[in-house]
Amino acid sequence: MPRYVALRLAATMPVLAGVSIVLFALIRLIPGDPSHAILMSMADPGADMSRLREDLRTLRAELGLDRPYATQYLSWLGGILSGDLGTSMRSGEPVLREILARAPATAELAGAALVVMVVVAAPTAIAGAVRHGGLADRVGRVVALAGVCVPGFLSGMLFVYAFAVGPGWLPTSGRGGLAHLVLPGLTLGLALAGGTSRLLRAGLLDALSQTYIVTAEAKGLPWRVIVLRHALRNALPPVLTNSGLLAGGLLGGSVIVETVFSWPGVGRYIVDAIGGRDYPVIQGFTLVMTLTYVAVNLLTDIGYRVLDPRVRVEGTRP
Amino acid sequence: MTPKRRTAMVAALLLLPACSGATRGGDGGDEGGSGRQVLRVLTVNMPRSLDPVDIDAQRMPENGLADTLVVQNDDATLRPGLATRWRLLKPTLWEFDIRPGVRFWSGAPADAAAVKASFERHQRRNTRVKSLLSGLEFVAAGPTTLRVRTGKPVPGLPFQLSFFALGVHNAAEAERRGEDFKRHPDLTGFMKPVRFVPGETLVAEANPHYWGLPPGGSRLKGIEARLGADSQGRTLALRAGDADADYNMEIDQQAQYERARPAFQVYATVPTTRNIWLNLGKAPALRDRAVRTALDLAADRRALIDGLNHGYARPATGHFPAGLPYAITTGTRTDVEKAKSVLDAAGWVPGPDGVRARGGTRLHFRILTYAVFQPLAIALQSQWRRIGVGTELAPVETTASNQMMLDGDFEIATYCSCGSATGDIAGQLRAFYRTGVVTNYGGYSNPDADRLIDELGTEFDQGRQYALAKRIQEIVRGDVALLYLYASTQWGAAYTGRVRGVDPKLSKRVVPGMWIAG
Repeated sequence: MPRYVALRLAATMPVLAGVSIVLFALIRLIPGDPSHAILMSMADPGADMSRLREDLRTLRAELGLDRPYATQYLSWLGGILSGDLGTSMRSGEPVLREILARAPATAELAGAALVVMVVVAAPTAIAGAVRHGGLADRVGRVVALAGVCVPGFLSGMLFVYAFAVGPGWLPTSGRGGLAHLVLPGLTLGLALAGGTSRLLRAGLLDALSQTYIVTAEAKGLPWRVIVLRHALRNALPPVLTNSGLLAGGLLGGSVIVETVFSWPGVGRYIVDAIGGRDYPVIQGFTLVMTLTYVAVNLLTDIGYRVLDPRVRVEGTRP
Repeated sequence: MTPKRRTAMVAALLLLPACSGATRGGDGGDEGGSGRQVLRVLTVNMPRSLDPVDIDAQRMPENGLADTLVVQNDDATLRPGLATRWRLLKPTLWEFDIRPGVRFWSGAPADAAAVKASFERHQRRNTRVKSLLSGLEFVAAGPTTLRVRTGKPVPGLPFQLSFFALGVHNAAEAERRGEDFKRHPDLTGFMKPVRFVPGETLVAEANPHYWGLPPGGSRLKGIEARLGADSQGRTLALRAGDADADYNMEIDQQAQYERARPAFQVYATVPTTRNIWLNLGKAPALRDRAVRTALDLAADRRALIDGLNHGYARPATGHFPAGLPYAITTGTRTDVEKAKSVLDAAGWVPGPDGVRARGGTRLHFRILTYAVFQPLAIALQSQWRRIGVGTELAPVETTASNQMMLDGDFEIATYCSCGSATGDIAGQLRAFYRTGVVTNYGGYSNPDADRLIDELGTEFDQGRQYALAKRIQEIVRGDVALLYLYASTQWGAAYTGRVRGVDPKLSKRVVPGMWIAG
């Protein structure tokens, strides 16, 4: 296992290098750079802007944007290798510090969403599979479909209206106590629960049709044990495979949810950075996210091996 | 999950509000009731730094943190700030009387020397005001006398020094504290920060020694400014009682707040003009004045006002919104039939697809648009279609549109020059209509307009300024250089009905006279 992990980690290096180069090039292809974002947003409307082009040139030089792309890239890469993700062009703060300052909020939101997802997806999937075609299955499908189809900004607003504006049970926005977490967590969690529920239900239906389930029934095992211990375990690998996509869904969804609920997380921070063309922030964040994806996929593969001992990766030993 | 567990989970969710200390009153203050004197503000523009020279030190005067030398009212008229009076000594020399006895939060005197040092630090470090302060020399002629030498006559100097990014700060302390000044600045404002999460939250308490306190002191004990990124989210927060003020009111919100009066108070700022840029250099067909005239006549302003602005706008007349003393009063009346006949007379004939053409050139344009102006572009697309002008939309995001406009990479654009109330009429008109100026995006050029703009730039007499401004606008409108559509009251402020003492002329600003009724 350690050798396998080491090999997998080594294989991520070219991926990271490729991602960094592609991203570095792509964000510079989009019109507008940090100097435009800084000088032209919130400019004084009454000001004489005849020197704007000169100001833009000066600022580009200050930010190092007038250097050749290769120099800029190598300079950034040098910083990465020494553990420095760079400095935000807007705030002047180290990118890593800014990301780490916001990461707990996003992690908190993601955790709450995962709890909601499990609480919603698991029962609806199990009930749907066990009572296939019955009322529980139909209700579960409707819930799953709604979760997938209703966009976060709409469901978020509806939740705010239903639980905050009307009865005043929960706060509308911001981050504070546990109560602040309920609505954003519910919004993001329900969006993720839909797909997961459908995937798990399909896996369970497949598992419940296998001969070993018939054997287990014949042995007189309680139905609960058959479903939860035998069928569910065999239905989980596809859900696990989906966890990489789930991580993407969490981040993508969190951008919308963080905006709707003014949640001070990484998602909204990166959207602001993209709008402001804060290159070091965008590059640093993407690198962190790539690493996260790699880690999630690695953990997924390890999870596979734990769940299903038959799984072996060619060329490695257990 | 057993029924027992299910019940427990549901109960836990329902009990969350009770056990979380949900912030119906937010930080710093009594919860609800008449005792809470903490104004909870929602804004899109939360500062990421509290050092006034930083790019991201937004809204500091509005949140009551920083003072400027001169204060700009919503209608762009001026009132004293840290300067009690100002006067012109020579065409290139201004004198400001600094308010005596004012101190920074640290206790250091905010005298003329300190104000001079503050401006000089802005000149060195503040990217946003480099042009604004270029060529200015500050001289402390006495403890309360600040003189400003300008390289050339600058009639709008007091207005320029009222810019929100020019907060007066203790420059010596800033150098001493270094990076820490971003979080712990030394300013003169009414509100002193006690908790600051960059870009997210700012909790501040009232400064009992502030120079502008009403008799008997301030009833407001503090503010809690919070990021409210989503417009509907801000409206719901005010409706739920989670916030007291919304400082970025969009038109949709204004309609909702207005309907719910007196639960809300609405302060619509002086309108800003929505215009359409025409790039004469990029689209040859636009050089034909008949085409520009037809586009202008075919734009149904009433439909745009009712459909996009809920009626909270009025037809534009020129660069400045009607009602200002330097605005012109006659605008274009929509006339689709006349627009068609103008094009017919100019030889633009409808083709099989309905789009007009002449000599192989088709009347088909790309409309560059972005952000909140996309609906406007869509509406114009359908309106111009009626007269045989085809368009395709090129939506981009704001930063991209900034560069594309500067590069002249557009044919027609909904980019907003947003003519509005100003104390620097010459600066605003010069920026958009003077030949060769970089922000004259459409490449407009008229020697008569240039001459008048230059004359206006050195004119100190207000009456003459207004007359010149009107003549310039008449020339530009006569040339149909841009299309002026409507003047909208977007981006005002809304307060809940319980907030008292809002200054109607500083509606988006925390002022010492404010308080919250029980």
